[in-house]
Amino acid sequence: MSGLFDLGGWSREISAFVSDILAWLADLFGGWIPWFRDVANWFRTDVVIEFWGFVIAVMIMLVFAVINLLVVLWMERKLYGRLQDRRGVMVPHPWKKIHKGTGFLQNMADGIKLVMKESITPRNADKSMFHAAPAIIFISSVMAYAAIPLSTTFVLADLELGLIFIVAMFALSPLAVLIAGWASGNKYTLIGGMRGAAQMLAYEIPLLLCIAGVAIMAGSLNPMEVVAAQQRTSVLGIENWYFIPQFIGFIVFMVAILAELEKLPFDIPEAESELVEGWLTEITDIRFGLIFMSKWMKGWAAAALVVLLFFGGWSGPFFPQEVWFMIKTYIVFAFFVWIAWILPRIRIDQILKIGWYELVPLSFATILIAVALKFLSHFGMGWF
Amino acid sequence: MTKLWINMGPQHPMTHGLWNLRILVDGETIVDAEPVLGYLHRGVEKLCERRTYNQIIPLADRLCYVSSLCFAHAYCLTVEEMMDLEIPERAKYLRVIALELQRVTSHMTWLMAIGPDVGLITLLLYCLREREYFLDLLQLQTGARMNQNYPRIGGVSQDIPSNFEHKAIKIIDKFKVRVKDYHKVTNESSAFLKRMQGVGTLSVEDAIAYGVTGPNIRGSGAKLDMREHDPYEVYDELDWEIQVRDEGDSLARFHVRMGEMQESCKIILQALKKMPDGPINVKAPLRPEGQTFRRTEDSRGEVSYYVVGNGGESPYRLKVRSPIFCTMNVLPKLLTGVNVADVLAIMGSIDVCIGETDK
Amino acid sequence: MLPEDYLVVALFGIVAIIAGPVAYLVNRWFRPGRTLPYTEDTYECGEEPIGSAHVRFNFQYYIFAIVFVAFDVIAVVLLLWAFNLAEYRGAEALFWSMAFVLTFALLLGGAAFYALMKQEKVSA
Repeated sequence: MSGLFDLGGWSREISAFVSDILAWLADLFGGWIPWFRDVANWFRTDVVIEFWGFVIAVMIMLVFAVINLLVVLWMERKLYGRLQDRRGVMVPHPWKKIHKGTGFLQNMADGIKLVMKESITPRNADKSMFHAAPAIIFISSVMAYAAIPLSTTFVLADLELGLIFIVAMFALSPLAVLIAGWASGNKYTLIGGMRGAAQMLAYEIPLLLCIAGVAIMAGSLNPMEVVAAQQRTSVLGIENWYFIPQFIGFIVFMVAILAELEKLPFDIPEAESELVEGWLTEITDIRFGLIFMSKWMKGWAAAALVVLLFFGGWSGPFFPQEVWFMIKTYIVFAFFVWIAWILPRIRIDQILKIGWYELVPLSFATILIAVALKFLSHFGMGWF
Repeated sequence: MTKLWINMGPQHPMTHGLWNLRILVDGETIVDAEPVLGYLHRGVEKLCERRTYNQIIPLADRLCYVSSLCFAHAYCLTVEEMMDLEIPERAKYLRVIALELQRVTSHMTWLMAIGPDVGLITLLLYCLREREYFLDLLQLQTGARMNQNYPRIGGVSQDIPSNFEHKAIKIIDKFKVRVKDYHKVTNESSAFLKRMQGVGTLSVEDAIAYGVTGPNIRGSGAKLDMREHDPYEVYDELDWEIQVRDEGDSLARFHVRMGEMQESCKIILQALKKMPDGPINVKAPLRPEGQTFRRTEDSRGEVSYYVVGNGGESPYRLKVRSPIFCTMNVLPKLLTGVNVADVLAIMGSIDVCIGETDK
Repeated sequence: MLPEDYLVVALFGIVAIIAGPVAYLVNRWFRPGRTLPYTEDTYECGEEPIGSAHVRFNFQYYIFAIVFVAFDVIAVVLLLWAFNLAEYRGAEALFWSMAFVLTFALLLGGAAFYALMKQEKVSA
């Protein structure tokens, strides 16, 4: 099926429509105000229409990111509630003294609450860095959305190096963790920040190598191309989703991306039981809110990355592409939640050992498999 | 490199109570540790000198908020021994049932606390769910879920209702099924084993030297249980086994407690079957004289009371030996050289209760 | 690689960069303003902190950091090679490019693992 939503085309049409309205206004009032017609004409030039089209597309993507954040957050709360034999988040009835409903609005209530929270900057903190760190995390996780395509048409930026871009944006957050940990001037945050840096050493290489494995198979680092390659190289009419030929890579990637997200088996920098709240200990008000938001934004982006790389992106029968993509990402995200709430946290030296002695060799194996498959394909064998 | 003194407590997720573990870290390795106690000191021993013997029972209840019945019972047992008072057989059985119910709830509290300690919050909610059943049973027997005030000098306060046995069997059957779930998320999960195995190893010699008792020493390989070695009530008439593990690490202590919960269920069912009819109380003298020392097995270790009566309405002197207060001494030894994250696995497996530690 | 693709990314970045400070500003309007003398104390579970936290912290995983730098080079080379893989036409060119890259990767990887094993021995 084709895409439902043509982001670039529609936003350009909206932009052109606005400029048409401006032109109509110029015709109407041009007689009285001489320069108005010039302005309107300038607005009707192709470059300006294109530019405003981009701005509208960016806004649409941001709105999507925020709405999706609410859905994902609500989903996680509901899911782990059920895992723990509870009902999860619910909303109190307006006048009866009962709790019912799905509690979807609870996330918005939390957001409003965090905006209204008192702001505390510790006396010993390095002020500018302390305030910069949450913003860095938020910006980097939002930026990852720029390169994520939801379908062949719902795509903001069709980047040649899209996968690298997404991972690069992910890789910025350990830096901010380190900054926040040091700048807070607190011992828990110091240890948490150092742990964040150490954890990054463990998972970053396997993550990149798994992407390299997929890129070798697909011959491109563009997420659109990777999905197209999975659709193209079908065996017996079944699409060649890369989690079958790259199964080892898929497992390694899942572990590494969980560590990237700081989700529970690997939420070592946060480690709420030993370090109170880890590197977040001193962070209050909307700064905490931004970090909280970016955590789930990154969560969905990571699920999207998994789907793009290993589950054939938006390919699927009957439904439009966006629907398939969202279904797949939510399933992957649900898997993240399931793992996170049923496994205990492991130790920092253990994740380094796992990373270097298990994940890195395995990810080398995925590269070798990818190379072998690629090589075989030149002789008419293999999956290409 | 600079070493850092870090306060873990009094307001810290690790503490399970109000105390402070001060650790000296070099990077992430602990170089020195120092437990700081006294945030919850209430002077119970001194308070007891101003109260009559019966008024002390509620105070003893409040020594440990997790296994309050054990402390109240130990006190009553000590005073009865001082008075040379033989209590009715049925009261003995009732006490054993209540004690074992309390032991299960206490171990459930420990299990639910160890989950969040190693980052497994789901376990907390599972255990809270099943702990509720045993608290219901306890409520049925004693009338309260916490601070029951159940044992009396010369017996117990009330008999069990007629539907108690039926309910107990049903709940224990359910519990035995649910325990499998706990094993699935704990010692059948390699991530949990990674955190617990080989962490905080305590040798038998050290355990004896530092006065560690209860499940903690049984995890180190010592077959030491006051219910067996200094039998009280009717424990010697019942068929049960001491849970011992030789490894001495956090996982061994975990297994000992998991096993003890099963054994407690066994004891409850047996006691319910064997329990004779009869009175549940005898009248006790008001102004005893003499001195006694008596030890019992709490869910955390060996509780002993030393009571001196001089013929007055209240004891002349009362001394409580609480298990975790003695176990705290071994912390510097256990924690030196481990990772900061291991503090949780070790403290969780020791099962700290600050109520009894600070007294 | 069209520049207009990155124009969108740049626009997205500008909007994201504006959003953070705007959130801070909104918080400034709505939050309560009172501060008590001890509000700004460093949190250490209610105890007075012993010493400052701005110290030389013993980062115990230094060897991993060094090996990480070496491995990052491998990862980048592999990614760039994967990116250019479509350029190699013919089995022979492909074979030689694979041989070179894999030899490079295995050499660096072997060196890194030697370092890690050595570290294991030293720390054990």
